[in-house]
Formats: sequence, structure tokens, C-alpha cells
Amino acid sequence: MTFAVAADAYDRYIGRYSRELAPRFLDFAGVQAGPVLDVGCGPGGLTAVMAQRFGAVKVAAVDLSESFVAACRTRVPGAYVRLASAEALPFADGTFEAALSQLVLTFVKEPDRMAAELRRVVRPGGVAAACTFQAEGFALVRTFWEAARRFDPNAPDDARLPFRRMPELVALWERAGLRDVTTGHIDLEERYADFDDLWAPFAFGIGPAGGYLVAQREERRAAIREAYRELLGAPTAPFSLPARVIAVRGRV
Amino acid sequence: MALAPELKEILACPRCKGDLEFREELREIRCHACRLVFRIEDDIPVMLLDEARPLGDRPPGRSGEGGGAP
Repeated sequence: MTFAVAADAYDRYIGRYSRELAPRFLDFAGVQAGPVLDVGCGPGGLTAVMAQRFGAVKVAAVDLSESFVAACRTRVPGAYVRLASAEALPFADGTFEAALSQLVLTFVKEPDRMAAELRRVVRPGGVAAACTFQAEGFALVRTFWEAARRFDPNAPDDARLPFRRMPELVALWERAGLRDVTTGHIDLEERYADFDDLWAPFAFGIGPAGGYLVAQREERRAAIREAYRELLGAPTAPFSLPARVIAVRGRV
Repeated sequence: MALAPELKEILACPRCKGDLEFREELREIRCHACRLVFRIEDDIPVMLLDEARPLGDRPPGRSGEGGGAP
């Protein structure tokens, strides 16, 4: 499984959901002013919205992937972007009004350390917030595993990944000592021009589903593709897929 | 682009969260408390503990990635 991919490949796969998600996640977090921090910024979907609202010089962002950091810098000129780990943030205590992390938590090695770091770098009274795709609510990936399990009952499933369900998010935020922990849903709908617009990015090997697909033999890959197309009703016109995002926020 | 001054002030060591010394002419950021050097690559500070090198060591050669274990 990898996220060490070209930023445009990621954008065609998952990043496209960020356009609709980022402003709504920022609204959910209730952030009124900078400086703000984007933890696991990817190619900068959320970073860009933060910069529009608070000014780029009030925005910092970190990611573990060099290609994402480079893409984020290009996308959000003036924002301060660097290579750093979510579990060891390179900022002094209480630096930010808010620290947000969008669609990252599932893939972090030490989520409790990450939550503690978000809390640490936010000033008292500020906000720490995170969001992830809900286990059953992300049609793009859920349908992929449905198709894959027709041929391989042991195919893994993103629904089994951590932090895909609300109680886990709440428990993590409470363990980190955040106060007034609240949750919310953000329902998205992404538009696809045709089936290949949806399918092509899976072949980039991004994330658990893409990683699984590229490890299969060619016949199996073709069979999963056909099963996926069938599950969608073999669309011949542009279509939309829903995605439910779950979000948690707390006060420092 | 040089490091934005307003953000230089908020940078801290990812290990001890203490102050850093900026040596932009060397493309380095140093933590004297931890005796670590973080490199600045293409203007991007690499603030990863895994990739920091001990202060006092020579920078690894371009082919020496991961080969510097004592």
C-alpha cells in the first residue's frame, strides 16, 4: 500500500473528493482565524481552502510524501509546507488556532500520538479536528471490494481499517484529552464522466484498493473491473457516487 | 523562496519541540538540544526524525542514503 504517488494520480482518485469536502470540513471545525495547520495535506485540497479564508501566510501544512509536499507548495503559493510526520510535528506548543487533518487518520501508524500532537500545537481554546471516510459510506472503494470479493473471499476491505466509524474517532479525541468533543457527517457526491474516469485511477496502485488491484494477475484485474462496472449498472452516461465522511472536533 | 519569516518563528524541533537554528546558506536547520540536523531540500525543510542526521557528521553523499549506520 502506498501514497507515494504523483499528486495528479492521487487527485484523480481521492483528491477529487476534497474539493467539496475541504470547505465543509473547515466549516465543521468552526475555525474563525489563522494560523491554521493542515496535517497530512496531500496535494493541498484543504490547504488551498484554508489559504483562501485566512491568507496563505497564516497556513502551515505537513505531509510525509515529497511529491505531495511539492504539489501542495505549487497549489498554495505562500503557505508554509514541509515534510514532517503527523506524530512528531515540528512546531512549538500552542502555535495554531486550529489543527485539522482530512482523510489521513486511517493511515497513520500511531494515531494516539498524532492526536496528542494536534492538541499540543493548538493554543488553549483552539480546535483540533479530523475526518475520514465512513466504513460503509464510501461508494467508490466499497464497490471495489464488493467486486473483488466475488473472486477472492479473503480480499481485504477498507471497512475494516481503523477510524472508519464514529465511536473510534470520538474515543481517540477523548483519549487525547480534547474537550467538548463533537461529531458530524459530511455527505459528498462526486461526478464521473464515464466508467473509465472512475476506473483508471485504481491502476495507479494508490491506497489499499489500488495496491490490491495492481498485485493481481491481468485476468483477475479485468474480471474485477467488469464486476465493478456491472455493480454500477454498466453506466453509459455521466454518473455520481456518494461518499459519507465522518468528522470529529474538540477544544484544546 | 526563502523560508517565510513569520513561520520561522513557529518552527520547532519535531523531537524536543525546542528552538532551531536556521543555516539557510548550508540548507540546514539545526537543533542543538537534540544535536540533529534537518536538511532543506528544494526549499522544503525535511523535518523528519528518520531523515535527520547527527550534528557534527558530514552530510551523506548522494548515493549514501540509508548507508550511514555507525
